[in-house]
Amino acid sequence: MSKINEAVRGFLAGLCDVDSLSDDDDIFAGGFVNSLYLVQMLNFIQSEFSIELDEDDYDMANFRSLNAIETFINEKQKDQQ
Amino acid sequence: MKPVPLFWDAETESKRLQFRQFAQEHIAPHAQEADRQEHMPHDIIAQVASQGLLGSLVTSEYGGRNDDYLQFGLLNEELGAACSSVRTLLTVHSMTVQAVMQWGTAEQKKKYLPGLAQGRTLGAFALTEPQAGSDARGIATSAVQTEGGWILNGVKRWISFGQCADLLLVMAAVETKQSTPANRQAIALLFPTNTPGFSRQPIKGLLGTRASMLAELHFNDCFVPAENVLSRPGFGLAVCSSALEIGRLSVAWGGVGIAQACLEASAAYAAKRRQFDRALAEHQLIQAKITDMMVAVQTARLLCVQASRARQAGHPHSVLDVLMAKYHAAKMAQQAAQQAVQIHGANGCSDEYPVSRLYRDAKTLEIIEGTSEVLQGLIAKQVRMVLNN
Ligand SMILES: Cc1cc2nc3c(=O)[nH]c(=O)nc-3n(C[C@H](O)[C@H](O)[C@H](O)COP(=O)(O)OP(=O)(O)OC[C@H]3O[C@@H](n4cnc5c(N)ncnc54)[C@H](O)[C@@H]3O)c2cc1C
Repeated sequence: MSKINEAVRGFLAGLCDVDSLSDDDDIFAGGFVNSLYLVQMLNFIQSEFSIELDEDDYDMANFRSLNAIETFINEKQKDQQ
Repeated sequence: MKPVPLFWDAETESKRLQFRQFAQEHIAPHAQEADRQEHMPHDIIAQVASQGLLGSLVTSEYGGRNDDYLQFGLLNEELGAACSSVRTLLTVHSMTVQAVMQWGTAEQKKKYLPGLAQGRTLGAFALTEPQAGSDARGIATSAVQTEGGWILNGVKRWISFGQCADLLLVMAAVETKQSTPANRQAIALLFPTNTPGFSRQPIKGLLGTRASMLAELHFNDCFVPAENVLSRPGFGLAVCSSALEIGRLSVAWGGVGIAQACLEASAAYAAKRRQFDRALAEHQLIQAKITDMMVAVQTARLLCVQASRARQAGHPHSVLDVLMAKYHAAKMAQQAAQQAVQIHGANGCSDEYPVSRLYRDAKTLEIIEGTSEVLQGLIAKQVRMVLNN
């Protein structure tokens, strides 16, 4: 498991049963996490991975699953280096 | 009586004193009459705007005050102590401001923020509907995509300053051929109230915050250009919850303001009013009430300071801190106001004394920006996250 995956799972552990969440599961549509916590997740991603989100990033496709989040964070970190 | 300024620096304290002076000189003297008339005079809104206070959260590049969340909180406390309806104006206006600041495109910021900062444009937040209150997922106001934008249809109810707002932050459900109640996406739209097809009906006879110009809003085939979508379709609930977070922070501090005003009024009244050959303040049961009130105000204020600081730092737990501050401050304000009315006896039941208004205003805090029960549920869900992280 990558560091990013582990950290995001650690965050989600407070909101849902992460053990039954696979890396491709839709976190929001699958009912794992209420979308009202999306903002909290965005805050977490920004502070934990030292990235800044801008308007183009606000696309559900970037945050739908653990794999999508990891890809997004990796790309964002590369861009902001 | 001033709160002990142990929790902020000299610059912030000097701002608080300015807020207090303005609120006590220009807002408080009109609060009872505005409450009686169920109307916020234009002059009062203009005075708040002329001080730049509606631009508290707007950054300086757009002409705002660029206050931090602690200063914003103290502004809400001081306005809340003077008049909860004026504090409500700041609440719903700032929710719109925050949404544009956090989610707006460069063009949207340039177009809307200068007017919002100066109060030339009044903002309001339109989520609640006749059939959708606590459960925002049930909203029926629909947005159907059309060439160059969206067509909006529906009704919003209980919208503070809906009678006079120029720009609404409206939450709607995207309707497509494929959408079902289970998979509908939420969309957040910036809606100018001079749009054809829009109308508003004042709501009168409220229990509290009676001068907050509530309205029922009707959207009848209103065209909203694509450039007025905030963030993207699907991110509507995120926009909504981040606006609600500012609303909750504002209301929490407003609750501290109500309770502080109750404390000050009660202490002054108890010192003057004599029964059984002594001032009320010399009776131990009255002393106990005032002591409890003072401790409660300061406890709630500390939670608010924590919430403001966490939000300023961008801490992920700030959502929880804000929820706790709002839940506690609303409850505390209600209890403090209840005790303040008790200390004032029959005078507390009369509108000659502000505590009867404070009592009615305090009750509404437990309903707006998430009822206390809904907040209890949200806080409970986060306990595990706090313990895990
Ligand atoms: C003065 C005032 C100003 C307002 N301003 C605005 C505004 O500017 N913009 C806007 O959009 N709305 C505004 N509102 C509406 C306000 O946000 C709603 O009233 C609030 O969200 C509650 O919705 P409701 O009234 O439909 O109550 P309901 O949701 O019907 O709730 C009724 C009761 O049931 C309880 N309840 C509901 N669900 C649960 C649950 N899951 N568990 C336990 N208990 C539950 C509630 O806590 C409440 O006690 C305003 C309301 C007031 C009174």
